[in-house]
Amino acid sequence: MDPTPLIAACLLFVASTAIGMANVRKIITIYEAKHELKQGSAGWIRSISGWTLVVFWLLITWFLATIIGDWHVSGDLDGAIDRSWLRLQIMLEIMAALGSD
Amino acid sequence: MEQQRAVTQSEIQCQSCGGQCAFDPAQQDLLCKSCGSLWTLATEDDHKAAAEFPFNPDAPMAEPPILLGDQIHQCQTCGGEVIFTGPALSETCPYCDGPVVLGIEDKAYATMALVPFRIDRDYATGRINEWVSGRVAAPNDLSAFAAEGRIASIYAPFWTFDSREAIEYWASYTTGSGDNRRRHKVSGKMNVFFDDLLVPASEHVTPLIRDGILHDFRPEYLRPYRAGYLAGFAAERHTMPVRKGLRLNADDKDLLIRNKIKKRVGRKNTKVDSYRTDTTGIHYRRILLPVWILHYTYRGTAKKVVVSGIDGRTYGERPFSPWKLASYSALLTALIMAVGLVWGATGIL
Repeated sequence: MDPTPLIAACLLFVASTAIGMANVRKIITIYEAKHELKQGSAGWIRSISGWTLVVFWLLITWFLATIIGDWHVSGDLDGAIDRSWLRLQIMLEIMAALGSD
Repeated sequence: MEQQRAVTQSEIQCQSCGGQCAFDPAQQDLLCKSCGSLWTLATEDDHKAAAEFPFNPDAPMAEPPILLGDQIHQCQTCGGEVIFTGPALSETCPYCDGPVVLGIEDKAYATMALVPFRIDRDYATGRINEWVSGRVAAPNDLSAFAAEGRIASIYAPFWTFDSREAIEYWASYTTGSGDNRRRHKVSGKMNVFFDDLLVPASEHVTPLIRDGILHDFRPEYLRPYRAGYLAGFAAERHTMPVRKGLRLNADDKDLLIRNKIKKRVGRKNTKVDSYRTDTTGIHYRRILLPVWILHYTYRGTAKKVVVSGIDGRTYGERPFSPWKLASYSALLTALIMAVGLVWGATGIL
């Protein structure tokens, strides 16, 4: 069995965990803002803004994991990347919609 | 000035035994520290404390500062200037815990009213402990560090501002996706009335902390500015003109107006391109609001937790544990990766 997809998955896990620390902090900040800051106040609006970055982080991690999953089963990285094209388009659409919100 | 000090002193002196009184938050009266007598501070004119004053931004110098000549305590660390009335003399700054030196106040603006403390130290301490222990992803030793902190009470200066805004806006929003994505432009007019926007008149109370502790401002709680309400507590003077208060509030007001325009347009993905507003009917109050502040230092960084002296709402600054953040991040990553790996392996899409 080719161990490369497994190594790629481990690398993705480490990189995503490291990048995700700031996003987890953002999630907690939003949670605290929703429960503790005055709804509709300037501080509340500022604290909850930026949640789209959390979604971007999760979407990108999910997308890269789908390629690795496909690669692991098919053993063909180029084919897995080609087959991810539609997923990438859908993901970019979601990100564009969230980005302009 | 000496006469003013004598009046202040007589107001907080017990009429029975001549001892010093302090304001008691539970009774809302003056309590004699020596004989335990209670003296009411309520007057028939208390309702007048909620009065607002018009401000004309086009007037050259709408409000000259006054020379009060009170004894002030100036912090050697943060520069804060506070006054202590009665038995609350302290050698540290209520804001930053730094050392203070005695001096004579230069110029200040007359405070119009204040909301007296309604909660006492024990209740505030309980609220702080609850807040600190309820933090998600906080370091395990946070409670221990916070317990070593010092709790101080202070009347912090605020403005309240009313204004009418006649707004003309230009905005845009997007619909559809892919090749069908379209951007639509809209414009319109709307009127907004801001009622009692609270603006901190001190550099020590940030707008974020204001939004955390002051949810419902109730003008009926306002009382006339009197030495009796200050007795036993520190108070910071108003030292900034109204014009500066309006400037300090400009960013918040801009954000609130943009948010109201987005709600008015009522479409997803709305972007406010620009707006123009004609502000009229500005009314203000210079008031003091009561807060309890916990100062604590976590691994060399000074932090504070603030409790509203009105209803006990609590908000503050807190550290995060990197290990806990990493654990939560790893958990989320593992979950989303598991979904992705199965998704890719099964060839769903």
